[in-house]
Amino acid sequence: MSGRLEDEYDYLFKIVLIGDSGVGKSNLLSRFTRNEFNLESKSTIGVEFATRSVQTNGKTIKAQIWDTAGQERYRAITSAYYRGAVGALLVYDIAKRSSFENVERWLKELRDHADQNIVIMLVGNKSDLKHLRAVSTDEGTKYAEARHLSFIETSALDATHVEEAFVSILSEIYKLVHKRGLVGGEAGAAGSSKAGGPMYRAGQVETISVTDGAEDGRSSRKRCCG
Amino acid sequence: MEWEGGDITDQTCDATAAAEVDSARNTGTSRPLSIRGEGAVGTLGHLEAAFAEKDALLSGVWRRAWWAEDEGGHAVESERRDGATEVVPTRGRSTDRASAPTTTTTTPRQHGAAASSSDELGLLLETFRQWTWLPLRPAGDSPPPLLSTTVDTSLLRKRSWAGVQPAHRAIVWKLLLGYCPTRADRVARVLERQRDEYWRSAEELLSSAGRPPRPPSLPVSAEASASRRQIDMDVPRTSPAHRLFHTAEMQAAMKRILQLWSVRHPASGYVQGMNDILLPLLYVCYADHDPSRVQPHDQSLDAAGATALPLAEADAYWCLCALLSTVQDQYTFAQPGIQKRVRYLRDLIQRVDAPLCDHLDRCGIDFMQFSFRWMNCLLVREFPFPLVLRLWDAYLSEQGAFASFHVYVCAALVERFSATLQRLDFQEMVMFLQHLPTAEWNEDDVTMLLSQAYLWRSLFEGARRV
Ligand SMILES: Nc1nc2c(ncn2[C@@H]2O[C@H](COP(=O)(O)OP(=O)(O)O)[C@@H](O)[C@H]2O)c(=O)[nH]1
Ligand SMILES: [Mg+2]
Repeated sequence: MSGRLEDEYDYLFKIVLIGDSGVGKSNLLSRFTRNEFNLESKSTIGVEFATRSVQTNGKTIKAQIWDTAGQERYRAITSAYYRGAVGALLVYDIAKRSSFENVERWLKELRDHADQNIVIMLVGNKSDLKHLRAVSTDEGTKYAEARHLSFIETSALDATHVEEAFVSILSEIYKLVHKRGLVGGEAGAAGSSKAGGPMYRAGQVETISVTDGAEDGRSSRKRCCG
Repeated sequence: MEWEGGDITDQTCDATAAAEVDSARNTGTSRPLSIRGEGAVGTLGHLEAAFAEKDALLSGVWRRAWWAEDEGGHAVESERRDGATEVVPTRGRSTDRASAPTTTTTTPRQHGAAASSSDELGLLLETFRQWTWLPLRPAGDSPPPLLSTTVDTSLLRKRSWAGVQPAHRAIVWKLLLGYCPTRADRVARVLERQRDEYWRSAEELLSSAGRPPRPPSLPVSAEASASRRQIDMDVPRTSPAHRLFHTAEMQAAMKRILQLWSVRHPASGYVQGMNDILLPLLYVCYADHDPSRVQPHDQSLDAAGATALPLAEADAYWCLCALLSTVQDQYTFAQPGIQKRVRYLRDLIQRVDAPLCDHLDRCGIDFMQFSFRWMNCLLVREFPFPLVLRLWDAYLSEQGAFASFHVYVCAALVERFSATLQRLDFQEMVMFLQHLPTAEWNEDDVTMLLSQAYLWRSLFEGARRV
């Protein structure tokens, strides 16, 4: 609990990891925050939490990432954790069709419980399982396009695009927020909020419209995460 | 002082309804008790004959001398015994609570020395234990005599509070969970019936996998098949450090147990974390065939273990049923039992450590963020495995402890780190509480936790009952 240095950041964004159980959310998190992968990791109970700071756009952004359990039974409780989140990585397993089919339900979950302007990135994980692929890259891309989501395929196992996924959603959030000049002076506010230390509060986020930002950002964003 | 939110052990309407649905289902599928004879000694012949027919389990290896030398005359009149000898350090706090299991009992004994009392209970437990393994007894080997004797569960509970030695843990847990009868002459018969029932149901369940089931007993709903998939996903992710549970035999056993439990309890079905709760039970039931040798780190089952596992698996299933029935409201829709207990935990911290509670509030910590898992998995994930067993020994010393006393233990756990926590900010605190530095803990740490929890319970819950 030392790392006071680590606490020097310009912005702090709360991100949630959601998607079916077993798609690799916890391993994406451990790969990104600790560069670890576990073939046998324990299932997530309730929510777990980790942070990491990254440099983007010349700023230090601290990501506060909440990893949730995937099982239906937990949703009544985990939905409370969407509060204050400004980004969501919605993960499916490219080798498991049902996890892709459930993406729609997770989007509804976000619509019901998260801030309406939350930035969502669709993540097809386990891209290393080429021989078992059940959802093509094309299908993922098209689905994301239709719903105005960014999209990326990752592998927590061999670390492909994991860094890119997190950095690009963080920078996307940064751009949206920066454009509106909403986060000035917010740094360091972590922990002072009842919602559990998210960066900017729902009231402020309300004025940000993701669709408004589409004209300059959408296509390039997809390319950068591709 | 009084709780603001009512009795902590209150069942919610949801949970009660759930329990009723489930118990109706369970009685519907269980067979009537088949009594083979009455009277302690009279049943022996029947049992011998019955087990001789049970080829499946009898074919096992019998490599160890299960039966202690019979010294005769151990008809324990346990109801006459009152003297407990347990002494648990309570750090000088236990002055006026004579009935507390943590205090040194000085009640004069009616007969015998303290040592003799505990030896006799030990011998009785050993006899009971051996009878639970009766199906593995090689033909011609004679079990210890069964006298018409009853285990004194109140004495057993006191014992259990102070921790049970590994050699007796399984039989003590089975007795205190109400799975093993306390009357010696019923042990073998009841366990045989329960194990048969388990295997009959498990086979029915497995044979119906993937196709439409026989209607009344095993409905397969969307939820049931989702549970099945979740179990298949979670069992391989259970406690990776303990290789014993990752042997093919154990993995299959865990899946069967959880699937059967899930199907039999449709009001909640399998909920993630139940695999963790199963671990101590399965381990203790299994290790009992050779408590001095079996380790959670074992890489494989030896022949004796493979023979013992089918019995242990059935035992673990029934123990799981008994345990989960006391906390079922934690696993029904929206998990009301967990929400309630997390609120009590917060209330309790507010009472015993207001500065800490203020600090948590100021930092925006929601108790749910760290104690959800403590409730959901009954602390299995928070301590080294042997200490979980030790903790559960104490939980089993009273009825309903997993639902109520547990919250006091959680409070003691938070409180234990109060000074550290008050130096941390929001993020550091969440990380700290989700990865408690308990890896180096020993039994004394658990004992201290229990004593603290006991003290608070007597202060807060005891007062309310007056
Ligand atoms: N091949 C492969 N396996 C992965 C990958 N990510 C996770 N897994 C495995 O998938 C299983 C579930 O991962 P986990 O992170 O616990 O999933 P969660 O339930 O979504 O948190 C584990 O056995 C992981 O080792 C990946 O990128 N490639
Ligand atoms: Mg997980």
